[in-house]
Amino acid sequence: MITVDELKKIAALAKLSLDGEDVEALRRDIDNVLEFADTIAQAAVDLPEEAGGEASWRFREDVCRPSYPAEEILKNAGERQDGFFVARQRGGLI
Amino acid sequence: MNTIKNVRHLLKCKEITCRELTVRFLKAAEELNPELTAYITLTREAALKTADDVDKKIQKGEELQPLEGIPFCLKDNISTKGLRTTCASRMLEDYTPIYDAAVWESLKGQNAVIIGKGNMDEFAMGSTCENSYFGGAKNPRNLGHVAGGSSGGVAAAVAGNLAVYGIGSDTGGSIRMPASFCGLVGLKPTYGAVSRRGLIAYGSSLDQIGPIAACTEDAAAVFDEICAKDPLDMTSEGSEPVSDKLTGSVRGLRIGLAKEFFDGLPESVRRPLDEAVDLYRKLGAELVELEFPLLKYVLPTYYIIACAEASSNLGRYDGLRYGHRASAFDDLNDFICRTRSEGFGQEVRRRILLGAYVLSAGYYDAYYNKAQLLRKSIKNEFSKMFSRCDVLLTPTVPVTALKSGAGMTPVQMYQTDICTCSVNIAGLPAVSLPCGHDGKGLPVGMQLIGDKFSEDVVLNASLAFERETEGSHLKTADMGVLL
Repeated sequence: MITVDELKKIAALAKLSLDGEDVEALRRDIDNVLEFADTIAQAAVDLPEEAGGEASWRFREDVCRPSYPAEEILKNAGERQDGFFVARQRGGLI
Repeated sequence: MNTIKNVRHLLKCKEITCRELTVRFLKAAEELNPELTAYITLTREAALKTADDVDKKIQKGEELQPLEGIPFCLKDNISTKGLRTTCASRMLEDYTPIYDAAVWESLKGQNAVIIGKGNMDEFAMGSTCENSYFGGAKNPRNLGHVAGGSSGGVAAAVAGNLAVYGIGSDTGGSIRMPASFCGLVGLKPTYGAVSRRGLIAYGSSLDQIGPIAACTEDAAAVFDEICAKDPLDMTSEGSEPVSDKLTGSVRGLRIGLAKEFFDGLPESVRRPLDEAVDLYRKLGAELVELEFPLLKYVLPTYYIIACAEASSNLGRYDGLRYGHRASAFDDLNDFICRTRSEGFGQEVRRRILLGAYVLSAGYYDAYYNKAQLLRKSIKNEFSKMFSRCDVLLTPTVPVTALKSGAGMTPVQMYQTDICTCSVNIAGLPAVSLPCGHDGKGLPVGMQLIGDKFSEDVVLNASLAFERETEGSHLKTADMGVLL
């Protein structure tokens, strides 16, 4: 069973704020899904030793190519300055 | 019923101009969308510009490409340069991509007319389309029922005659389930057959783009145009076009029936499937009884892998480079956490948390690693089944379209994917086609699963059923543009 403290720790790892959330209801939801997921822990089947990947990855040669113009990329940013994204360390945005 | 073939004929014979056709679809979409919520964004300007280009070609007597001038709906998790792409999320409510997805590049290159961006469950996470920030798409076959998820808006647009065909994406059944609920044909291609470049990622090892159409030949025609190999998607293999290979004959085809897929089916779903099996037997197919004992582990395996990949893929939404941003915060970490909690809806937050949990130290081996080992076992079991058959026949969904607002728990909702998500786990192709109706007149979907890159085999079996039943199960709603 997942505890509220564990849930808070996972939320911090996942960068999700639980402010305003019904934490106990969320815990119950997650717990129900984990109970359902636990059926694989009891899977009485012969499993392979290694999983192996879904796809055979094919990497391209690492060659410098022109990319998108900075001003295009910045168009979707909520705040930008002098050709950069802005990340504020303190306080709310006005 | 509008089909690509019919609409193409009308354009070529100049019975209607492409602008007239496009205006009719746009007008119908504007009128019906407040009720259906099939579209998140209507792309009027882009549609009309393309339509005018097509009309110029027709006037000059130039040959039209296969999908040229045909109005369609594109799921809103497929990037379209200059056209808003929201993933049905508050997070991307105002996001406009600066590049095109490979699939849209191909379709735009041949003047396919985009009517709009199709509604969906937020970030493709859901089985009803009700997890959309913009409100759920309704089922045109019965407005009190859901269109299915996650590509529900695309299916609603096609079934409501607001598009001739649609392009969706399928991570655990998101093309096949709405196709089943709305009485359409939906093809989930082999993993790697269609480029995922520009598809906003949910579960990268499971996601695949494919068509939702009014009939098998349309699904095949659209697949032919989007199955090219893409050097910019490292998992892309490409595939051969299939339309020319479809004969409509299933004589000698080995159709596998694994009993586990049919356990506990309601009679209303079971009966049309039994009738379909009888029909295939009558057409000369050989029926092979099979077992799929691992089916009981498919759902947890799928949800562990999908949520783990989602928690990683959705880590990019920090509010700094694009997307929603929190307006009040204490520091940068708080800004990111608040941005994400405000921008993502409940189901997305839940899946991110589950994914982070199964990947965290102490739980990784018990959940994620075990799920990956089971994934390999499931693939091996499919390989064994395909050594004895060419196609597996199953229900698409064990139920017909759910009532809107049914209020299911997350686990109850996940269980509706039981027949579809094993296909994504194994990277196989599968088609859903309508095979009958339940007592309320809601469509029942039949799923045909094939071995890797055997889209021609599953579509051929689908076409055989359609022809033998004279398309009697193919029916769109009495609304929208009826040409």
